[in-house]
Amino acid sequence: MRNRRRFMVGLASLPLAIMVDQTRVLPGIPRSSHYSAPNLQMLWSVFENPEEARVVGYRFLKLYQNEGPLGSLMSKIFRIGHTPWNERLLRAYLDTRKRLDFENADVVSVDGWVLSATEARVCAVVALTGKEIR
Amino acid sequence: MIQDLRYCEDDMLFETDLCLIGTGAAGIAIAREFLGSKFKVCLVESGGLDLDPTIQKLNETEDSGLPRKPHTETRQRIFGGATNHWTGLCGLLSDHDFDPHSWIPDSGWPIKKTELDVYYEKALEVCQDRQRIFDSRVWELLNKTAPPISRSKLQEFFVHYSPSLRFGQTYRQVIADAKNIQAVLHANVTSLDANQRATHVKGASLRTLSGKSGRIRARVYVLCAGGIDNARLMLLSNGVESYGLGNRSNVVGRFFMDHPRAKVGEVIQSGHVPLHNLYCDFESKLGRFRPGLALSYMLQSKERVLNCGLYLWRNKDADSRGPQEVRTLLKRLRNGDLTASEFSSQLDLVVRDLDRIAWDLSRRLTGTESAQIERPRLDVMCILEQAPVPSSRVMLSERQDALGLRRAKVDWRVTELEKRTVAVGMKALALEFGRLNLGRVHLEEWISNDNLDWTHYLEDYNHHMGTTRMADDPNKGVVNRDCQVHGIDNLFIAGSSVFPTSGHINPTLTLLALALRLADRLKEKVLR
Repeated sequence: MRNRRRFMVGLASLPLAIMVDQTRVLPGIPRSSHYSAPNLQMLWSVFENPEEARVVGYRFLKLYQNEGPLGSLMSKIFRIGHTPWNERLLRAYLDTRKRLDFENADVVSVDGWVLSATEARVCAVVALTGKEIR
Repeated sequence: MIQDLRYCEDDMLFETDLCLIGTGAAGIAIAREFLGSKFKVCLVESGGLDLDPTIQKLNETEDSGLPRKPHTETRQRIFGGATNHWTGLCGLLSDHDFDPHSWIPDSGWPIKKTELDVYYEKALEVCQDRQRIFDSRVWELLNKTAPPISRSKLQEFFVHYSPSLRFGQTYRQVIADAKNIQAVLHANVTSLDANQRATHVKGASLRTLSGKSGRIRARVYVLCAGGIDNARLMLLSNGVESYGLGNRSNVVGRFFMDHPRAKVGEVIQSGHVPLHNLYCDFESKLGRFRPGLALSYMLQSKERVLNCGLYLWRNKDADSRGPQEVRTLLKRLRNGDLTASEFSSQLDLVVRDLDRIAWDLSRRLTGTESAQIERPRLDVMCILEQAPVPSSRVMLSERQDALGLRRAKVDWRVTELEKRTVAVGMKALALEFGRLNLGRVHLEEWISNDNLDWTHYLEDYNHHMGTTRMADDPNKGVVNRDCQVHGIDNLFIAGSSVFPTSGHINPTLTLLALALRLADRLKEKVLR
């Protein structure tokens, strides 16, 4: 029950993605030569409730086991390279990707909730990188 | 004049031009059209002016298909019929609801909606409803901006709460005062008696529960007894042809439809558009509305599915009880009158609603409306068009009622097409709400889990339709486009039993429009 509540709170926070100014630099952020991604701290900062987003991410990863690992997720989210990323650009990019996902029916079902593939993958990244951030 | 058969002399004969069997919306609407005319009209009603449980028991059916609510609750044998518990919801079928669809066998009406437009207007007058707009123009009139939902996928529509007219109460005095109209109460029609070729109705036999008899002789008879009893009475009238009157093609009672309905999901609102202010029931200067989203015809034809209406309802359990529950909890704790079990149930309500409580608390602490918009959880309810299938039907049971007549046996069936329609509709809703950042949609598990018996989640809506369906071909329908029973020159049918397909909208306004159209036909062509 509690997990379900956190899951739903996490869902509610997804589309409200509010960017906050966080400039901490994190060690050990994986990078890939195949895509250009923002740092993970920036990605985390799109959530009002990152903990709840992690719940969504874990569920997504459990249901869609071929989505991981982290590098694969990041490459799917950031197919189009932007360098350098900033928070405004990241927010605009994710908003556009989410909208396009829904337009193109590129969606996933997580416990019955219909989410854009991008937002589910972002949650998955948050879930996978929680320890590093802390 | 209103008479009671129980107090008439035995074997009384009523002679009239037009006999209307049933005094629900259709029967009374037709009778009104003859007020002050040269024609004599006789309305026949099984019940009286008050609901009587003994008479209601005549509605009992034997159900062999999907479970339905008890018919003693859903149908009313009383002057005014089912309008006595009508919610007053008025809406229009869409143009495409009348069209045959290649992917739905036996679909389509022999008439177009345009033939009903003028009668929809008149029907609204009969309902004393001043509303005439049922589409997105309602938003414009209310200066509201609706989200730009793609009309190629979902179509906005509105049903309007009319004044919930109780036809029996509203028009009782008019009928009592009318010189050319008589209503006979407590008169159960036990059979329609036809000539030897079963092409003409000679009379109708009446009986009260106390055993008194009567008879009606009319030039024209109109069945207005509802979607179950119209068919039942035709099947019971088997004195000449054993399969029942007007049933040579074995269609009477078949194609029984309702509007299956179910909770199909939830919505968490996401952006800054307060969905609950747009898509939940609302009051306005134009009246009270229930907005909804239906599948566009484009989507129906592309996906080869039926129509359905999706409605958002505030989930009150998950939504607004929290703050009130906190106050109740604190007050009762202070008073020391809370038992342990009450405490745990109260706490459960509070815990389930922490978000709402936090929002309410911050608003009161700051003394202002928070910038955070209220985002109540919303349930998605679906009202489905049902595919017309001959195996879904009303038959005669071997069991008898208090009059010694065989009861109706209802075998209500739905098909996989209805389930697929729900899935298509919910997917469209989820994609549109996501695309416009209005919210995220949750689908009930039965929609996608084939291991669950999805019919278990459906319930009926008391909209009994299709059992005497309209078709030009006598082999495919019971009545023709003028609502005349095929092959019988003086027997007509009014009510939703003539609907060949149902759309998803509440049927009352459409059945009234058809009844008023029939009244015109009778005056102009049949009785003149």
